[in-house]
Amino acid sequence: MSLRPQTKKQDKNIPTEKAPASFLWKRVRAFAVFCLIFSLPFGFLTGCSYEKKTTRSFFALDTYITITLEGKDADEAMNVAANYIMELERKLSRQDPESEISSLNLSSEGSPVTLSKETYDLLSLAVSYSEKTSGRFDLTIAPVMDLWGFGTEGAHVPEKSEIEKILPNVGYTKVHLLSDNKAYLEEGAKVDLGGAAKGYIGDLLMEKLSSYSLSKVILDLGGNVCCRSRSSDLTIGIVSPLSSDALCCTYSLSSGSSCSVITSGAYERYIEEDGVRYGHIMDTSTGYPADTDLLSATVIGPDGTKGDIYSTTLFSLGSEKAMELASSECLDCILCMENGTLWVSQTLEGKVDAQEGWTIQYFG
Amino acid sequence: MHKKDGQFNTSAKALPKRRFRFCSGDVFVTLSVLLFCAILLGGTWIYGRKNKNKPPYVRITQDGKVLLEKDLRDFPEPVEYQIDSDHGHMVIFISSEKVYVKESDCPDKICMHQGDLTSPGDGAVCLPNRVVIEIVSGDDDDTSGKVDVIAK
Repeated sequence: MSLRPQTKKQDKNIPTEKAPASFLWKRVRAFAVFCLIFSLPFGFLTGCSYEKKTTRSFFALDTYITITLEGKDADEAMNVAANYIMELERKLSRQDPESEISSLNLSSEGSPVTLSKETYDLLSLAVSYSEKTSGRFDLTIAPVMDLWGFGTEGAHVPEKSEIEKILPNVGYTKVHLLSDNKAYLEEGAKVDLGGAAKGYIGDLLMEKLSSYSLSKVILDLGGNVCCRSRSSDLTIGIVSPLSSDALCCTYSLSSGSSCSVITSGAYERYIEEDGVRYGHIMDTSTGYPADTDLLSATVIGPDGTKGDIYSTTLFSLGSEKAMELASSECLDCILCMENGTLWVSQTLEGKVDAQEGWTIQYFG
Repeated sequence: MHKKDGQFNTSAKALPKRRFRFCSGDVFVTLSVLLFCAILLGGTWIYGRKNKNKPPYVRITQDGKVLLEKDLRDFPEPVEYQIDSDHGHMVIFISSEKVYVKESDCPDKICMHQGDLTSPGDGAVCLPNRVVIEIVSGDDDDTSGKVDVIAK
């Protein structure tokens, strides 16, 4: 190809007389020129659309999941990812009476249960984060959640006495982790890993998918986002807590890196009674919805499990304490206030763009 | 001409040494190929534009099965689309301007709180009923001005 123009140049110096080249030679030349020029746009077009892209959406993990993969192994990796989610759901779902979490909830000191490595790891992570947040996040909040019944037919505001009766059963110290992936709960305690499982599953999936040739991975586990892209920058929108079809800001992830973006808020799941909204994120010390001035809290970082847990914790703490905790834990976060202010970690400067109606203020 | 000048020997010996030169035939072939490519590229461009201008449509799925997939312009008169299944009962309002969940017997009503779906990318999900309502852009690759994914 590069030789061609050169030849042309040289031709100029040679008299224009035409050699009576053999007819075949001329044909070959014509054919070569044709092939070269024809292959240009063709190769360009196919080159653009070469990357295989596949998207799959389905109901699992008590939510709606959308996975988008791009790259050579997209189809194969998609099947692996979907199957892995189903496998983890069977282990971690509290709704499934056959799951490991359900059997853990029936365990006692005398009869500990043996868990799979994944479940045990998540359980120990959840316990250690409960400890770290001094119980602000507590994996044993399940009995209180059952009382409120968010998202079920029996959703209602419980009597104060009911809550007081059940509150002593809440406490991460009631979870006992033994060796050999064994664990048991003290009587009355129940574990729900809903506040960490999606982040954790996202982490496991990203790890599993890293062995495939994929240029882009976007996991949307019911709003918990994990993504990476080698080919282009990604823009992740963070939904406005005031209107479900608008965004409050966008976060841009530069190509080559990966992150999880996890938002907690009470704007989607709540009970409304006598004009009062009761959000589904609990203050673990009172058994009532967290009294917070935040509309939502978003944690961005490499660790989805941590992000899932801390987004809930930051939300329930309220803006002031949330900013303190975020600074001390070095979390990258976006805290969304009712007055339209977004408190954004200084470390995210330049990566977050506010949408109309929202203003960014940096902290930390 | 060359024959007269005798500058160029056409003997079998000299033939393999001869370099490439553009002749009128080559110019014709090149031009026609370029024209062909122009037509090809122009065609894809026009096709692409046609696709971009394709109007958005509404898609309703339950458990991954498509229940309804229709151009929004096909609803000059609003329609109340009913879904009855083992999971429950839903009524979805569809007009050419907007789509929303009017009724649902699910306990959390998150799908109803979602409000009006008006532009491509908007969607509502009802987990208990396993129903997804989406407004889909006619052009699959149209990501201009949109985000790749939404965290909520």
